[in-house]
Amino acid sequence: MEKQITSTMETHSDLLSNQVILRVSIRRSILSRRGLAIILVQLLFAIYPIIGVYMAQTKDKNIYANGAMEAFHGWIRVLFEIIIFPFSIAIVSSLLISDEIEDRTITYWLIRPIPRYEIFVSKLLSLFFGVALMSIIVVPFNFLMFAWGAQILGEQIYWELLAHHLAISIVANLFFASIMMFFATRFPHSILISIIYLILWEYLIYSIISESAGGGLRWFFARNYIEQYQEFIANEFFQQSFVLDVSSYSNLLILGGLTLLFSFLAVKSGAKREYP
Amino acid sequence: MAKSPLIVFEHVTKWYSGNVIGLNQCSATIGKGITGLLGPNGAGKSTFLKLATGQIYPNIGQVSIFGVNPFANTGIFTKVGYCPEQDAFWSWMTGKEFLVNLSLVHGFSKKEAKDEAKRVLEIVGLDDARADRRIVTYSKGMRQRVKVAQAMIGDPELLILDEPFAGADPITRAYLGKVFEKLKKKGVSILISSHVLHEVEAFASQIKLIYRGRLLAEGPVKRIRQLIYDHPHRIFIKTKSPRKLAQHLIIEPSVSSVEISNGGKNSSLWVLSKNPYEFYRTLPKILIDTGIPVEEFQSVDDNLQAVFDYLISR
Ligand SMILES: Nc1ncnc2c1ncn2[C@@H]1O[C@H](COP(=O)(O)OP(=O)(O)OP(=O)(O)O)[C@@H](O)[C@H]1O
Ligand SMILES: [Mg+2]
Repeated sequence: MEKQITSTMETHSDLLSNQVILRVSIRRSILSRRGLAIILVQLLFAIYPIIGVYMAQTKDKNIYANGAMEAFHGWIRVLFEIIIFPFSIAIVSSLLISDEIEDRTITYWLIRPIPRYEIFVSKLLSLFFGVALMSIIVVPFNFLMFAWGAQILGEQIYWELLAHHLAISIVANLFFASIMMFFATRFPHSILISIIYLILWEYLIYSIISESAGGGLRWFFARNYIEQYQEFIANEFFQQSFVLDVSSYSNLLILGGLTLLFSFLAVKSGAKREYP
Repeated sequence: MAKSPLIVFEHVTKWYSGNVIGLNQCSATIGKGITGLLGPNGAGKSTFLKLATGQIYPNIGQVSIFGVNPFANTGIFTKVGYCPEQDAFWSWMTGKEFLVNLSLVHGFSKKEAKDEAKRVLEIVGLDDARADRRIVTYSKGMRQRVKVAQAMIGDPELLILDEPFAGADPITRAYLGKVFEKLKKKGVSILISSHVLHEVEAFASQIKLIYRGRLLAEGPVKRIRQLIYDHPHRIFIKTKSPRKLAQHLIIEPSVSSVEISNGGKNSSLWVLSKNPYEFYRTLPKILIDTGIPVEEFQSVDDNLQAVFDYLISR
């Protein structure tokens, strides 16, 4: 008798179910008004190089050891890659989980005969879709800004560097996404917590990418001390990270591996927790 | 019991973060048929139903449904339908889209999902015109219907409904009541929570009274009804001559105490009756015989809360 019961109480697993969850998540967190607003903010910041061009042309020009175009790259890097993009992802990924938990719509998924982990796999995929979408919209726009800046400054564009940055930025952001998703399943009501974690991870990631410990943030804060800053970019940061070196591909692999690990953890903790 | 029970709670304690207790040493068995889970706000009804459907797990004790542990065990939803208490929907979806999507997740093919959505919409009495509108534009009654409809996807053997009548208009209440009665005839079991007895007494066969996380009383509807109407009622009477009326009331066997609260013109009486039925019958006689005018008359105990306070202080 008992056996009969359990044999009829099995979950099913099919693509169609997962597609529905994926679709609803994307519609809700990325193609919603709020998701589009986040992309819009990013686009606004992608225009930021204009200010970089202006600064590089005028009074700030002399502080850049290696020329205006490098300064220009630097601006983009700090403001866009290090701050805006990851923050947007942190927000979208926290929302993707927390929103449905907070307004309880997640219940409608949790009470269907599908394995719980599939819900979170679908959500993770929709998050990765969101990251890809943001990259597709924002990065080419950023490239155009570069080209335009280079024309005005009369310097060459570091196209290889841009390609390198693009690759890093997508992988790094997928990595962020998986970490943020993991935290969102752990601490459902904590966009604030995710942002704190984000800053910490920011520090680590840029250590990995630029091979100079805590490169990104240190560089950012150093900007307040122009003289040190000048030395700093001349000696350390630019020399190392503005070169497309092979070791960065191993960094990409590390990031990729960590992304998989955190994705796994995110799905696991989402499936195992309770939803009061 | 000849047949195995559907849901069994064994000494279940559940507390939420911040030391809020949801259920306290609760043991209960839910069998076939329609069971009403009755309790005032914060009694632990929703906690009970969430535990039974494995959305949360007990800190102490054990829960089983169809003989298995429900926590994170979504296989049970091949047999169980659940209607949540919260009024949450995806803002852009129409009633039909909502049900089709959830049917797809349930494992139906695209065509089957449409049919399934249609079937459950028909059961809860939402016509096409309404089903094609966005849910957020629905009245509360219609939203309750949609929520009940999604619980019926896949034709479950057991429906677990968390306050499906809450906020619903009388027409919806009556309609859903009939739906549940029909389902009962088809052999579907229902566990339904409510904080008002008369919402469920028409179709429920068993009632569980739950209060402050404890199961206070249980039994067939008749017994619980008696329990509720048999317990002492406090009655408020506003009159110009409270003392005179009190003298006449205190000698009545159905009255256990009378309290006069004097405030000049606004004098009033609080009567505690251990046999309210009898008291309500004799009061008009007394008033007519003595000719004492009464401005206001009110039984404050018609809500469940007082019954529970009474039960717990026994
Ligand atoms: N998610 C939660 N976090 C913290 N405390 C909770 C949570 N859910 C319920 N509680 C508390 O647990 C107790 C029981 O709540 P529950 O929701 O089960 O009651 P209820 O009988 O369903 O009440 P209502 O009629 O208001 O729906 C209450 O004191 C409530 O405040
Ligand atoms: Mg409740």
